[in-house]
Amino acid sequence: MTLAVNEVSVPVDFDNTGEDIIHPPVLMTGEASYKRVTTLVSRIIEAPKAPAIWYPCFFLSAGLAGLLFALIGYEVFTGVGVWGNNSPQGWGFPIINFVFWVGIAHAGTLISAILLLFRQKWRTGINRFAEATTVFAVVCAGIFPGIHVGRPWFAYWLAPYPNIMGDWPNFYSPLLWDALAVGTYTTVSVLFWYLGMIPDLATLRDRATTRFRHTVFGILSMGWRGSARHWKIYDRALLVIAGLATCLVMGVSSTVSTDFAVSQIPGWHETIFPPLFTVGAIFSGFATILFLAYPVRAIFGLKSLITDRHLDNVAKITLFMASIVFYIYLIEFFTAYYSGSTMERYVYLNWMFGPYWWAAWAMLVFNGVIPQVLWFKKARKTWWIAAPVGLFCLAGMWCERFVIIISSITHDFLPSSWHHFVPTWVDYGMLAGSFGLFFTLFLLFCRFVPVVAMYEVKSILPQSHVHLPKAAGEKK
Amino acid sequence: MNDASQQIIKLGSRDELYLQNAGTRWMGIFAGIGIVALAAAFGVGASLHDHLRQFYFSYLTAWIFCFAIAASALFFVIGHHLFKSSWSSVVRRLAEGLAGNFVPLLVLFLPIIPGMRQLYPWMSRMYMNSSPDLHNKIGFLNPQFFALRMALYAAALIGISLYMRSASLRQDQDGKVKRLLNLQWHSAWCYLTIFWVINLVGADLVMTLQPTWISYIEPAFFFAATGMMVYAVLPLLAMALQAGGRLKDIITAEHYEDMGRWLYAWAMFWTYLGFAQYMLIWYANKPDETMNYLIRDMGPWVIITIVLFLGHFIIPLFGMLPRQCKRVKPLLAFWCIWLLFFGYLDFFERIQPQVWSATAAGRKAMAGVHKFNPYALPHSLAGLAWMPLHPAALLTSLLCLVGLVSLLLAHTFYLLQKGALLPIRDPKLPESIAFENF
Repeated sequence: MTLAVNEVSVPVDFDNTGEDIIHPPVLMTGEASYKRVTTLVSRIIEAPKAPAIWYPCFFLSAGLAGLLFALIGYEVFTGVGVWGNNSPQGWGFPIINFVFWVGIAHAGTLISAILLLFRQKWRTGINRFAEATTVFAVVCAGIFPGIHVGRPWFAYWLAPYPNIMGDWPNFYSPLLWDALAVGTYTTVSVLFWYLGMIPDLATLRDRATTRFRHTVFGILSMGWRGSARHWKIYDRALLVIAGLATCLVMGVSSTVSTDFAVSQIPGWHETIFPPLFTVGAIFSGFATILFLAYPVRAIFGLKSLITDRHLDNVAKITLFMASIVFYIYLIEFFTAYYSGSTMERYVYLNWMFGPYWWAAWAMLVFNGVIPQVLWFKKARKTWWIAAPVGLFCLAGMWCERFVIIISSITHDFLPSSWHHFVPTWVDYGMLAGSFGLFFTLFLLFCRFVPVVAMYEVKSILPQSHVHLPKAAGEKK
Repeated sequence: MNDASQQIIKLGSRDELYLQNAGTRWMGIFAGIGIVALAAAFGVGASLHDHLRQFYFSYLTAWIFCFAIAASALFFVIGHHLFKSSWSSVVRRLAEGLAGNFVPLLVLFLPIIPGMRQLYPWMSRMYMNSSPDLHNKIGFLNPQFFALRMALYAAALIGISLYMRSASLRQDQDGKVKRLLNLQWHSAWCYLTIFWVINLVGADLVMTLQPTWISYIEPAFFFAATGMMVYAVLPLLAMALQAGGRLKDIITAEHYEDMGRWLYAWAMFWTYLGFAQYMLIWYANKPDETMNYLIRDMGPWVIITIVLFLGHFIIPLFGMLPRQCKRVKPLLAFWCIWLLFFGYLDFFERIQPQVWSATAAGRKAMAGVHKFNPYALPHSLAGLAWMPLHPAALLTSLLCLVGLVSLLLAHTFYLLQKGALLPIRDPKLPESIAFENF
């Protein structure tokens, strides 16, 4: 194939994970032209049919999502007794699921924003679907506190509004902080995601072959023409929102941690919870991407854009975050021992050897031990090792929330009030259903929205930076 | 591989890249100041007739401050390799010089040893047997295990810093890219090791000053206070060298801006962890936790607490925000000195209020932690808590600080004059020199 001036090419299967100190890395394999980037991404949306495997995945996910909504209906009409929640464990699976999903929800925006602020060019391959996971995880997370209040039709009482009863939310309660924080975060993350898509939506508008498609993408792209003025304002807006989103994510994930940490219950009252929840959010986000990126690029033929180097970097950061999470676990154990307090020590002994020992050990092994395999390059480059590691990390993070919420409060200060928590089939069904909802939305996103940020990938191609040294492996 | 001499010609003359005789001169000046200041600190401390109690606390505060500079510099160097950073290549050698101070720091730790019993109540077995909670900690808080831990920390810090610097200097000689690749390869485990060591030094040397107090976040909070230091010292060191005609066109406003941004980010990170600790302890209101803040809420200490909050967070939050504050050298120098001062004040407030617990009466009050009420302390004991703020005590602290920082700088100049002020054969150096912020 003849390439235009400055366009370069390496084979699609080119190993770009090698270390070359002098040359910048290759971040797109195959023919690295603007046109090919547009074609690779747009054809997924423009094709009359999705790839064959998309359909069974979608129907399975949609079925589980349907189960979730059916169970919500059952819970609303029957009452919260359908769950395993009982005194002293009033939080149960709904709040575990909420904290689990809100952790993933924090990750996508944070990943995208932080990588933007740190000038990490490889972010362009993964940022769009990282942000998408944020939005869909927020949807999953938001459902659970809404139904956990018992009478969801009164959930609006959380909002401060003037009323004839003179009721006003108690702002000393972290649950109120949480509602406001998550609400704000949802708004900003949707804005960040949508703002990032505008130029690509305009590309789809300009390529549209039907009036309907042209109208829909025309409305969504908000009149984007790609003028220099547009780009100047756009770049600045994206950078400002990235800066704000980074601070916001740290604030919101820390706020979620205060649901527990402001209490006096051993196992909940830990001053390290705010950074633990933030680090855990980033960790679970990278684990999600590590798990999802392999099937996405295989199913939609995006290996040129989501290259081995992208996944190698994702795996390295997952390992890094796992190490910090593991550090916090060890500090928790150390401090409980160091406190000399019988009650602080008991909590951790109960975690490890009490009735929910399996959750604590799973937390430690899945989050702390298994990710250590990613120290090895061969493991990072092998999809059937790296992707399951991502899945283990997600399972580990769910177990971490189980340990915090269930183990601590079922064995509090008063032994006479100890009570074993047993989840019901509704609890398990809702958990599975939330995954169904997440994957339903994610699969729809992959089919109908640009899954990779086309204009951002183009901005890092060599022809966009003709003054830089040539990339490693590039034709000289 | 490029010839080293050719690169040197491109970078500038030998006078611009090496300290040469100026290094010896500055080394002598700082060493002289350091010795005189420490001798004076000892003299003033002895004149307080408190069995050198205040001197030990002042010395420990200054030592922690110097440790923070060296440890953060080492963390910076390892991070540079781990993240394959290019902008920071021009200041890497200066950071390696600051990070090479762990052997002198180990020597300078020796004067603390005779004061251990004054500084750390847990050195007394009788004290540790005074309450069940304290008794439960004897497995960790005992002199033998403490010495073993310190030896391990020293071995890790000295070993890793020597490796980082020697490999870098050897690359100046032979120009092998493999050395840089090796440094990058080893940086991952070194990064985690040093992260742990800094956290544990904070737990061992600062948190245990008050053995009845715990906070899960305190080691990480100490790490945040430590990590900021290098970004305050590096720009000042670079400016001083440029004023002396070195590295003139190599370290540019672009590099200063990035160092300023990192300084800003660490100051805010410190606030984040500090607020998390304070707010959660305030909210839960447990006596074994609030005792740490109640003692800092008494008398003049509350003023220092408020000043620290304003100086380390609120004022830099807005003051450092404009881009020019990080690009214009005098403005950045002001903020570096500002945050160094507040960084020291932070360590001062972590360590020195514990002077009161170094007395028999203080230990008795602290051991009965569940009945602890600092507002009900005997007047003599409350007065003791404020002792570090008396003029003679402040002078002792100031002299200790000047003395130890001067000795640290003397050794830094000794290391810097042994090689070029830049990693002259680092393949990333051209990219680093040409670096521009977007």
